[in-house]
Amino acid sequence: MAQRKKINLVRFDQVGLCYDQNRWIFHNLNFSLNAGEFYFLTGASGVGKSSLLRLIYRDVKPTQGIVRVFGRNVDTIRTKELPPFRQRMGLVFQNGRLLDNLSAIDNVALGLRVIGENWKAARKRAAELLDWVGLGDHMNNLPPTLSDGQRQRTAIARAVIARPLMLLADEPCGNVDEDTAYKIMPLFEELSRKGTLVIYATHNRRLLSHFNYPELYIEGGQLIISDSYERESLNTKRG
Amino acid sequence: MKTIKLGYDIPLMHGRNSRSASLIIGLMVFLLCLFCAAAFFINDSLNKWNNGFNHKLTIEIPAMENITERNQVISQVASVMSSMQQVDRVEVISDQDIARLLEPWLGQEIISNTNDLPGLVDVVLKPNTDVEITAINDFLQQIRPGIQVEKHSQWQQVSARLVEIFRSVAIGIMLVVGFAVLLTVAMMTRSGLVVNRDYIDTLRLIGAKSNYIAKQFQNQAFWVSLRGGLTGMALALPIIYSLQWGIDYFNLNNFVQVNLHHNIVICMIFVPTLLALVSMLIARLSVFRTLHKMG
Repeated sequence: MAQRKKINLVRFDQVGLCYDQNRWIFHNLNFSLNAGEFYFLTGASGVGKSSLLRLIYRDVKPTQGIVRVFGRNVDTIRTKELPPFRQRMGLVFQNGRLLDNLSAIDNVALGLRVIGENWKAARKRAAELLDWVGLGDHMNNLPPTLSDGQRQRTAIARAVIARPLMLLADEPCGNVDEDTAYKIMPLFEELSRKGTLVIYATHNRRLLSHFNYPELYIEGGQLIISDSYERESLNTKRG
Repeated sequence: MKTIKLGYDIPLMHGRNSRSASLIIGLMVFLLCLFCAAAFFINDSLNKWNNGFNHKLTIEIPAMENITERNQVISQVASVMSSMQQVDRVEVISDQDIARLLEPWLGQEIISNTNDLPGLVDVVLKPNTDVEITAINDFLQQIRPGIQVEKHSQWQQVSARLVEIFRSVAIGIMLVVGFAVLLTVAMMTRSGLVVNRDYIDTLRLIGAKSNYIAKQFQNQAFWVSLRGGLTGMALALPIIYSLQWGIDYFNLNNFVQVNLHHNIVICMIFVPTLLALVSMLIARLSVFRTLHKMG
């Protein structure tokens, strides 16, 4: 069977990150991630999962080394180039980061409106997506009236509405129960099948054992990439 | 069905911030409109006085003990002036009127006991004509030495200076008030950026350009300024109309010219509109500067 050519989206070369002088989050990270792949990003709380994602969406710059995203060194991206850079990726945050004054449909439509789509077309597409994530009956609800799971699904819909090349989800199910976390997973899997690189940060190890995807594990400032088979043995070692 | 106002992802228009800014701008525009109208009124009044002076000469015949001789001189002067082509009409001021004019300075007792009052002749020139004051003066000296011709030039100079001073003060005050309005808008925008920092961060993270965010703040600035401006104008108009009514009612039109002519109305409509547009620009620049600093 002919192998599909891999499109590299993220590449870390000797990357280190240090927020203050004596507190290094990462040392010499080297890895690359391709379109259509799905990774769980794991590690203990405070180990740097969010920081790794922030490096990718250029919320912080690396202290050393080069981070390349979409083939571009993020260090050289100027402020005015950031919006088009971020428009190619979808971000899902732990708290959803929905705008409380906008209804669910308007929050989702925002993902298209910021790239210049007109209001009506954006809302039409947002309605389809909310249906897809099972919130067809809650389109006009404001975020404070939605449950945690509904808010997260709305945030996911907003992140994917512009068909991003990459989806970065920072503990998207951190505030939802186990059942909801499992229900949300197929949304990410489908995106990955369609060619989106998905990086799913979580500390829920049961979720990892249930779904068969490789893991980016952060420990002691280093990143260990393991597939599901290797993970079994690593898990045994980690106790 | 709950919907939102088009163009506002950030809740800018419903906060106390917007209402306070509208109120402050309203008060500023109210003052600005009153001052603007006052500037027009005073300018018109001074112009009216100037126009009155422009075509008038007053000839003063010195007081004489012999009243008959004085009256003859007055008649001669009036006759000479009437014969001039540039003169429209000549009016000899009666002794009673002269007495009334001098009474505040000399007192009623002196006035009633004196017979040697000076003579006054008012000369009204034809429109768009001018006369050589020195030549007339020289000619009148042949009738009687000491006759003086006054073209009210000193009053015109004072009036011109007053217009100039008032114009400068008016421009100064308008600039100060306008600057205060723009400062209010800039502060409102900055506090809006601080209060809604989370919303702005989210918008930026999902790829919103600075222009997209700035548009929301500039729209807010436009509507807040326009709302404040129209309120200020609406409050100022009845006061100006009342002033006009009062001037008419007390028959002060000879002294103060108060006409709500179209210049004033255009100016008063122009003020809030211009402020709203400039506010938009200020808000836009503030947002771009702040977002640039945020990185």
